[in-house]
Amino acid sequence: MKKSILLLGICSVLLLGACSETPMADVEQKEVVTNDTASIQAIIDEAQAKFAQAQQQQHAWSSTADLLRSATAALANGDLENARKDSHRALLTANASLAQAKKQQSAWRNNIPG
Amino acid sequence: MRILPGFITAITLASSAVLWAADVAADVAAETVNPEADRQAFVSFYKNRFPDIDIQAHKDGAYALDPAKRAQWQAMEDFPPYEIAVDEGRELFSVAFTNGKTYADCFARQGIGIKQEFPHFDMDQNTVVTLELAINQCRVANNEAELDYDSDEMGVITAYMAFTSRGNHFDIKVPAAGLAAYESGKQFYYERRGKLDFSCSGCHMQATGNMLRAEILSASVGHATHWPTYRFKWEKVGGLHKRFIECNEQVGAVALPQQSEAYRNLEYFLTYMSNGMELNGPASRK
Amino acid sequence: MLLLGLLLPGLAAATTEQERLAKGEALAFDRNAGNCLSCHVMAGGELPGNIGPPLIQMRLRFPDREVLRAQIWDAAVRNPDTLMPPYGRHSVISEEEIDQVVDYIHTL
Repeated sequence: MKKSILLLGICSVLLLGACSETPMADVEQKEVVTNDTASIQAIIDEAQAKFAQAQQQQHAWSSTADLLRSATAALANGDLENARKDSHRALLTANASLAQAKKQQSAWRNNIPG
Repeated sequence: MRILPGFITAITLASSAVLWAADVAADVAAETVNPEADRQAFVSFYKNRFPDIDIQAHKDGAYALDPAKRAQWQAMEDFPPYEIAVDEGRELFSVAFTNGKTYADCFARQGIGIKQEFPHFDMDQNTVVTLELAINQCRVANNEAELDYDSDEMGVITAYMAFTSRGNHFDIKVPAAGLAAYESGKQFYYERRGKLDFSCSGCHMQATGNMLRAEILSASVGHATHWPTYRFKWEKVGGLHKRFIECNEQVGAVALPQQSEAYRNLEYFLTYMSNGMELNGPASRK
Repeated sequence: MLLLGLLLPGLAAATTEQERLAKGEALAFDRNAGNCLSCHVMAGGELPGNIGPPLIQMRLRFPDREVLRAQIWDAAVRNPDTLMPPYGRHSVISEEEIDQVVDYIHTL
């Protein structure tokens, strides 16, 4: 269940077009698509853009910054496996930080006691 | 095929930014902002949570809640680690700028015993002015370079000014023009932040008095009274915003710069919540 | 010799299981990963916090491992006011690490 949400999240961002054609896009396909330098760079770029947006809303996470750094370094060293892994997690955390920012725009009032 | 996802992302980003801005406007309009009612509810919360602790005692933070830690801390205060900072600050405070003027010329009552009025909402600048910001504005007005907010010099000058304000009580005012700044500080305080999803209120209201590992979580009423503070962890005197940065980083958030608008607004809210509390800065903390 | 041959796969499995639990334990105590001790009393941990309930009798409280996993993944689903960080939803640790922590916590 959780893994399918995770996959769907990555999928929807990554392969918006492809997903709509083949909703059951499997892991193999994702690996193929993201194991080249250009695709990984595209994910890093997208995560970077979302991180910047979260920063503007004062909701950026340090984990996103760390993962962006390590993904970029791994890519530069030709370590595609770790570059892929970290870029995906960078995007995952950037998306989660934006979701948090959006939710807290109203949810903060629930934290006021009484 | 590659262009399409990028395009959709761009649209999504743009539209969510618009929605976000609309949400903010709606929120401010939806509620009547009443700082004094907020403060009374805030104080009542801690009175109920700690019925045996006088509200004024919270000016000592966690040491108000744990007698053993309080005893250790009081022993430490026999030789206050911030004493040198106060002396250095006294000296620097009186040194004339190159134009012959001094800090005293920039402040009411020559800058002595005034910290209870900071931060305040400045109508002309339409922003919250903290003591640190006022010090730098004073310097710029007198053709001096701004001080780094993390510098020893800023630390010791504010330590001296806080020292001369000891025993006074916070008297923060929120004029109609300052309500939006107050409300944004209040939102910052209650918002969950960082990957750990903690708000200031989560630790310092919901869990106040509980232990986070070996540390007892202090009450937020009184959080503003004792700055700047000598922290042994820092090995120097630092301001409230330095502590905000630490808190934000602990929950996995990217911290904001000292004296950023968001932190000044947070200080505004937090200090208003301490209205009527006695100032006891500078202080020492672990 | 024959007997040893029969036993070996079993021994290997036990070692793997132990290694897995050891990883889970390390993650649970790591301040930069699970950091459970910040808020929970936990066997083998000194100076625990007390914001959350003690981690004892876990199999009794969570007969279903998946319910425990869901709680660690995102405790806000069951209680929106919880202070427990959403380890999975916020990717504080990876999915694999969550499984290792869950396996370890379940033994407490």
